Amino acid sequence: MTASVKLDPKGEFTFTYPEYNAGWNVQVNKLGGITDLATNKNYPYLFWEAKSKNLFYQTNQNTLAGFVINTDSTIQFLEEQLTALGLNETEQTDFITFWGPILQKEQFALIQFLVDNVYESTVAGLQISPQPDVMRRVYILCSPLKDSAIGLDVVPQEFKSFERFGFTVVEWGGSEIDLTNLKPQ
Amino acid sequence: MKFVFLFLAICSAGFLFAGDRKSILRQNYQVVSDEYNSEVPTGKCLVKGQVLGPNYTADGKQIPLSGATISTLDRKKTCVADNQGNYKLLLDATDTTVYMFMAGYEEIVIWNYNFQSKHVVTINFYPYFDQIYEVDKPVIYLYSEKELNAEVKFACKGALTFTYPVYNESWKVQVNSIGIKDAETGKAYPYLFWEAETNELDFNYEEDGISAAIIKTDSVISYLENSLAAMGLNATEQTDFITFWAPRMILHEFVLVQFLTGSLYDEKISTMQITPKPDALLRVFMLWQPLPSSSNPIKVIPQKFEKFDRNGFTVVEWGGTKLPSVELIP
Repeated sequence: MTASVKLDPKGEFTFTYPEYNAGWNVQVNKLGGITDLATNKNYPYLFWEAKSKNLFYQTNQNTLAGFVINTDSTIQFLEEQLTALGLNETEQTDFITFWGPILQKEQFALIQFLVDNVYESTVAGLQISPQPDVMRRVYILCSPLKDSAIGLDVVPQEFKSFERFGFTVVEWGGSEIDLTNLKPQ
Repeated sequence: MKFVFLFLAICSAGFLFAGDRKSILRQNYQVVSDEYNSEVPTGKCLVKGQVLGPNYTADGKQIPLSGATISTLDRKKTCVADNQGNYKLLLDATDTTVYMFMAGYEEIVIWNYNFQSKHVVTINFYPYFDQIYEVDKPVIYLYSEKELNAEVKFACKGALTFTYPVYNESWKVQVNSIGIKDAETGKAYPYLFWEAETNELDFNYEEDGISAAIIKTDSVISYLENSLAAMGLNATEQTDFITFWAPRMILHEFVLVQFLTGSLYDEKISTMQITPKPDALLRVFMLWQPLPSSSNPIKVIPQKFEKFDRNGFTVVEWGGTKLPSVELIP
């Protein structure tokens, strides 16, 4: 089947692959993989990066829904949360091999996941035609921390998995947020 | 129910990339003089000078590095710098290379110098501290139509910083037409992944220059696509490679790019032992460095890539490292 994918990031594209020219037009193959109709080349996924100025953790007064982890348990933590979010093994491996090393920069890390409609309103709008039967979008905000105290109540997030069927779309991404210039309250 | 699946991946938004370093290497040696001296025996050349370290005294003087070794590559002629950092080494006029090394500091190699008979050459060395390089993201794909059990062992220069699945002396996996599974846990993985930190990494140089390419920002993607395809990476491997490296490389106007494959990969990055032995093995490592301009002080020779035929049990590995920018003192 063919599909058209349009992204509306809050910010400017810095890199896309295959090239995004006002949209991606692709053929989705039964055995997996995507063919870019503009070039006829095959890709395992569509990829984009953008610069954004206003990305920050969502908080409610003194509470932050998220996690502060000891990064000795980074892998188990990510596997647990991504499984709860419904990512499959390939998606989890791609995610963990990218974000694991970044989270491990310090002994602790602050993490918040933006999922589905929060992703849409904070990171990027996504319009796919025909409309997917199922869509899951997961975005990680994270900050390596030397200290586990952040001056806010951190309340664990809970996620609902999802059933894949028909035309399924999964997107994941993230940003590392620099907290070093923030003053404690 | 037919299940068709589109997967989008994004990495975001202009932030700190793991392993991003902005250190600048100074010119780390200087040939102060090269003069005829009748006291030097015929057929010999005297090399002398001082080794000064990267630390300074309170009044701004560079501290000499006593104990640094200056030597020919085959180590047959060597000497050690004294308390003032001074050294003296008598070479043959047929020698062309001399180098300085000391634990904790970078190695400095002087290639292709014309050491002339009955000459005294004064060379000062200014080593900086050892650089730590990140060996980024070697990923190992295993393919086999027939199901088989394999064990993958590897040894890299430097210390492992991250592995996935977790590497405990080896990875034991099951490979079939669908993909890779961890033999112990049964979990599926698209590839095996490791990262390391090392302080021993540099371009590979040849007698007359460096096999590499200087690429301008807007040609990075096409250069990578063409090179990786010529080397035999498939569409997924190419996309994984390009989406990881291109965003980092296009931040610079010019980059110097070298691919290490085969025995050079073994020698400079890591050796790998796979049981059973693969029918086809491809390993590609990219070294790259931002350049201040489109020219390079060392002659750049275009790289030739060999074709790769997949068959039977096929293993493909790729990885890379960004080397720090170089700025030469005029």
